[in-house]
Amino acid sequence: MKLATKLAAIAVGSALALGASACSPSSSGSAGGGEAAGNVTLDWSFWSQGDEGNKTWEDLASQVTAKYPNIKVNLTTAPFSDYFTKLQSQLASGTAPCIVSMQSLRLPAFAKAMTPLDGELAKAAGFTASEWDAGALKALQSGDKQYALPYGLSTMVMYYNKDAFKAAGVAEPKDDWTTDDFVAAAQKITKATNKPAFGQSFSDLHMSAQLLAYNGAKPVSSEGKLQMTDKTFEDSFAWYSSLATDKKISSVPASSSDVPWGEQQFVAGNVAMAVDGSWNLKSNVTDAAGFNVGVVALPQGPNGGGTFSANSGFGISSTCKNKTEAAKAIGVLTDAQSQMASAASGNIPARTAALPAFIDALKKDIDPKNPGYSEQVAQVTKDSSAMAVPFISTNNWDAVTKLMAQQFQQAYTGKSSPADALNNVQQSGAK
Amino acid sequence: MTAISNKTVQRRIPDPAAPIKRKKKSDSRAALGFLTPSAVGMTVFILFPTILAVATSFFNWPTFGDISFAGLGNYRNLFAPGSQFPAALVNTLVFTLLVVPINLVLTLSTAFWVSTSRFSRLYRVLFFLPVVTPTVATAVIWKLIYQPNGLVDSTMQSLFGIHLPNLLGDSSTALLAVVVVIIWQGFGYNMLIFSAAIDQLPQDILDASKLDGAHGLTQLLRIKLPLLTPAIFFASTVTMISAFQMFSEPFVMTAGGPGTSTVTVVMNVYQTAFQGGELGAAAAPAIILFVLILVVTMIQWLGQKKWVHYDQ
Repeated sequence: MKLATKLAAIAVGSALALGASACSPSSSGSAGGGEAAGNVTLDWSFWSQGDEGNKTWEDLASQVTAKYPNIKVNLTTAPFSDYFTKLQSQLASGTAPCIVSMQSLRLPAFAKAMTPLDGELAKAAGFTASEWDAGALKALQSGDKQYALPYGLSTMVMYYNKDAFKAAGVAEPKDDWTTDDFVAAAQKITKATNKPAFGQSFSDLHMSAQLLAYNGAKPVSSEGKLQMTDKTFEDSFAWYSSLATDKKISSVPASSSDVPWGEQQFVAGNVAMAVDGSWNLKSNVTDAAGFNVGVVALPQGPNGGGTFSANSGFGISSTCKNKTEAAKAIGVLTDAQSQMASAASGNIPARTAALPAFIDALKKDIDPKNPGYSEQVAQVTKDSSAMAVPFISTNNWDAVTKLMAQQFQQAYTGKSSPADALNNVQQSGAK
Repeated sequence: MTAISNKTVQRRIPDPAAPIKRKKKSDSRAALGFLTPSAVGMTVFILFPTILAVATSFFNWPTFGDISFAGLGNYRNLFAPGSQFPAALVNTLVFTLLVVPINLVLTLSTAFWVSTSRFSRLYRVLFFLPVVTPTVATAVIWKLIYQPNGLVDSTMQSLFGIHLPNLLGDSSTALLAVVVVIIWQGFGYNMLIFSAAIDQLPQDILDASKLDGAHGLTQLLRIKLPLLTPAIFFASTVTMISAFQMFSEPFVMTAGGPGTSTVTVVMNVYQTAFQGGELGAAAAPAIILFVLILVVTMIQWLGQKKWVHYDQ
């Protein structure tokens, strides 16, 4: 009897301990930071930038401690495709990091869970609007409030395989080329190589930028409403789908889960042209499978609207307990010195003053292997920035991008008409 | 010696009433103690979340923002124009109807074949490998195998000169392509269960049936299969439940597309909750799936009386 009672007591005790441990909050992860004797440790989440890029940001995190010895910043990364899903769960459960990296397209959905950088926080960050490109700041605003300070401003550009152009006897494109020039070049290269010359995509920026360039079509209105059944958008999407269905000059994503497709096929050497962001200006050359890379502005149609810009920056989660320290850290991560360091390691900067450092880095690291590239980058950055418009998204953008991947696959393979595919996205995605 | 023995005997034959009562009481306490950990675990991790999910399904519950009562709104919206739930439900049922019977027939026949092989242990290990390989990794590899100029396409081209359609990019083949992977992945688990059950078949019954003239197919159908029905019942129930909850393979390989051809109910729940940020709207299909699995499993349990033979 005594033994049974003891065992029962041990079992109950174990159960309570188990329950208690399951319910108690984690001391290290809660609210994204900890504090002891004036020292503050801040968690900072970012999408992965590759080994080299991550190292640059870790170095910048240590610069925060150099300036503010009581602040330590811990960088954690996740792949871009998972980053916002993870962040959403963290924000909802109160375990989000203090400093969050935010992309302009996702800000409408996340603004409610972030802290505006105004008043005392703006002061702590040393934020002065006049020092920044107005467009770069605006893209990270919601309801006229600044939610993040930009670290980069990227535009969508066209990358091309110089060797494939040369082998097919096609002249390299210039920044003033048209959609007709693009189709003609793709047709010649497709014929010469016997494989599609262009890498298609259903990614928001990659696809939409080319539709904008074709006839000025935008998937979302300036009020943030989905407008995919708009006549202009329907026309441009029908043209884009026809690159695969009628003209047979584009490689279609293998499945709806292949959201990065065109750019991956490009660096693998499977296609000769692909649209990608200027954030990959360096990595697309270093990753290219043994060929010379060129970069040019997007080809424009008669009513072309330029290209889309997308912006990324750092903000503070609403659950952060050390907001002032987080603002100070963001100030360091985005200051002129950090931007110069980041630009020198190959990240295109948001501050225009740091752009020459970026070009110089390419001249030193890339030009010896890929002649003339830095010059092209300087030109395309200038030309694309001049015609770039910010990409406006809806507040359920992740859900819309999922629908785009599912439905546009059908249009690219000819299983459904482009109009039907757009209608399905509009019906399910409009809120 | 005799005295000691008598004493021992006396102690071992207690008074029929009092000691039993005392023993019963102490057992209850011990049982309660031992049950508590699992009861607490069940309550905290299963019962409470289930009740919370039912409650959540009646609210507009954004990931961040204000929560408001929605009544049956979330359930009504599942069948509103633009909702992917009807397609997800149909796909899930098709997945289940394809995966469960094919899996059972294949694994059972392979288990019989393996049991007669000299290398049965080696085969069991080989067939079980996909089960212990991470699903996401295998799904990614299968995706590469399926894609244009991948292994399947290249083989068909070199052998027959046929260029296969993009299996995962075509709405008429995507679901079947995913079903093949799911069957391949789960194949080893049921095969191992059936192999173990075949090894445990009572030899005396098999010998007796032979003496009675039951050989080959007759013995298989009349003796072995009825003896294996408890294992078949277990395997079919578990396979059916996992087929209803299908998520990883279609999510990684097709993300539900093309169109809605591979969207499943669990994927619909995940996408609504974690990509759409609507927890209430995601809870509604989860509850419907829960009820569906509960009903089908109950029917299976009730139906087993007619075809499962536990006595040997």
